[in-house]
Amino acid sequence: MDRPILLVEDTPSLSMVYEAVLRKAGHSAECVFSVSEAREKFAKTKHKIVLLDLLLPDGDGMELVSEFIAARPNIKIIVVTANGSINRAVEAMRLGSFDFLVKPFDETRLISAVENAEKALSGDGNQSSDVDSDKGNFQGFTGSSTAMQDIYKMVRKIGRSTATVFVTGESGTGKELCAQAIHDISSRANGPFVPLNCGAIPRDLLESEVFGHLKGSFTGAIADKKGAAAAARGGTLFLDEICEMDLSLQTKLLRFLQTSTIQPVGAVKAQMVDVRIVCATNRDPLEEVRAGRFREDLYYRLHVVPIHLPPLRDRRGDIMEIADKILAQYSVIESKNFTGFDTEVRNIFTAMAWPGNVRQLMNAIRNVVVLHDGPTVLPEMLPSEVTMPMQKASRSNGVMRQVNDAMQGATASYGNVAAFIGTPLAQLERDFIEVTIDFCDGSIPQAARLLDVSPSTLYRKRESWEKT
Amino acid sequence: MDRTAFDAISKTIGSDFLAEFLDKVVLDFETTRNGLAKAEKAENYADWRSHSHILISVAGAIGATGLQQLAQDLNAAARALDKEQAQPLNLLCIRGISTVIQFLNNEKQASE
Repeated sequence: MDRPILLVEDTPSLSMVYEAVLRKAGHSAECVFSVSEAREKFAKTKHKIVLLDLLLPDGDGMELVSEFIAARPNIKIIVVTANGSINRAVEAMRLGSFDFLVKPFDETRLISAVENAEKALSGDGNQSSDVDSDKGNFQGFTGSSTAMQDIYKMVRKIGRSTATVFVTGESGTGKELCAQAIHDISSRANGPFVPLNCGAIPRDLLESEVFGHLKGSFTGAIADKKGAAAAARGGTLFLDEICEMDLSLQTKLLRFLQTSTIQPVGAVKAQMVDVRIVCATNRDPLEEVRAGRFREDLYYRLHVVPIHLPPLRDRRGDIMEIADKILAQYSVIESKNFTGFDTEVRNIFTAMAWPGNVRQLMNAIRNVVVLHDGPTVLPEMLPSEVTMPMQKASRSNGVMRQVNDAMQGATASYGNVAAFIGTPLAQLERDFIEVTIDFCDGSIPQAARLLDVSPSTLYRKRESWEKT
Repeated sequence: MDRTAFDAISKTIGSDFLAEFLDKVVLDFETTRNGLAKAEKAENYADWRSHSHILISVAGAIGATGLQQLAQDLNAAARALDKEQAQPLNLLCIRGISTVIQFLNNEKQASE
């Protein structure tokens, strides 16, 4: 390290502790005790790493985060905050801080954060050429929409940090791909990337899967098992479907995040592990907190840098970009000669809601490539899961049009409404409601909005129809 | 006191700087003690939080785990603007600080 670390801490004894620990690990530090001193020192010396307490006597350390990053975008700021102020650390991370440490002081975490910052500094030059490829492709993602460009920027920025990342998004939007991208452009890229789907493992086994176990610790533990956290040492642990984790295990995960130590099932002593956590869920994590299914303190621990992956229907411009790329890939894999999509298929694809997102699009294209021959993907080749909703929507639109026409006609003359004369009002209401629900792809809340009634009204009516 | 943690940090600081370090810790504790007393008198919850925050950090750094826990509880009570909880905790923290200062002074004498 050729330049000293700028240490901004107003409590003299703590400043001395940090300086001693850094010195012992081979780093030098310049200590200042206030915002004004920090500004002055920063202007004079070209520090690359700043260790910054957020609570300072003459101002808010957060101001310095913004100022320093604006002045030197590559600077690595490690903020230090108290346990009860995690939200402040989260804010600092969003402003671009590299990492955060929670008081009271932890020697291992401090050294690890500084060393990661150093690694990131040395890797900054190499990484930019790797990841700043063409606009529509980034680390396995495809799409040049503004929404995806923002995601790429975010991943580039945080990949070099060690902060915990919380990825949210519907199924099939690429949460694991995002986690892998974060790992691949981080200073931990040479370490392991260990994905673990918390929803796919029986609750009884999850603790052992995450933290490991010792032989004989429970029935069936026939040998020592290294958990995912230990396997990810020096790399990234990706906890998918984190909201499926049992509350008791959430407590253990929280402890792991607080202390960087794990205790395998049956072990007496805890062991240190240096792991970056990326987690994901397709649920609304705050809603899970409100419902009491997810610990609030764990949520704030994990929700340092949130990334929300948009559903495919919100970036329709990317659909054909992705489809063209997938078609080319599957054609090679399946030794077929597909070269493109018929215009009608393009229209269908672009208009579709894709509830299963990119995964559903990939499956549909693979189905076509496996079962047909090219060179062009035609509408009749599409699997029914793609064509059915379109046909249904088209039918619903037709009925709705008839009803709308009739209703509009009613205002001008009674002629069109006359077609309904003789139909019991209850039947007319029932048909109208069912057609609207059908039009909304079976979504009762959506239909209720269109009909300007509460969803419970529709549920109640349907229940009563089932009885008759 | 967590003796192992205290010895570890003393070793990291090194014998040449230990006396200076202990003086600084004592000074920080005294400042915090005064701050806590004033915050309680003025019922200033922001100050209460701020001083308990420093107490958590300093106590934690030297292995004063009991005091650290009390400070954490006080910090939580101050955040919740819970005077009934905060007042007795404040008293316990102030007493705890005095006990730890006594310990530090003894350590300083022993090291000289």
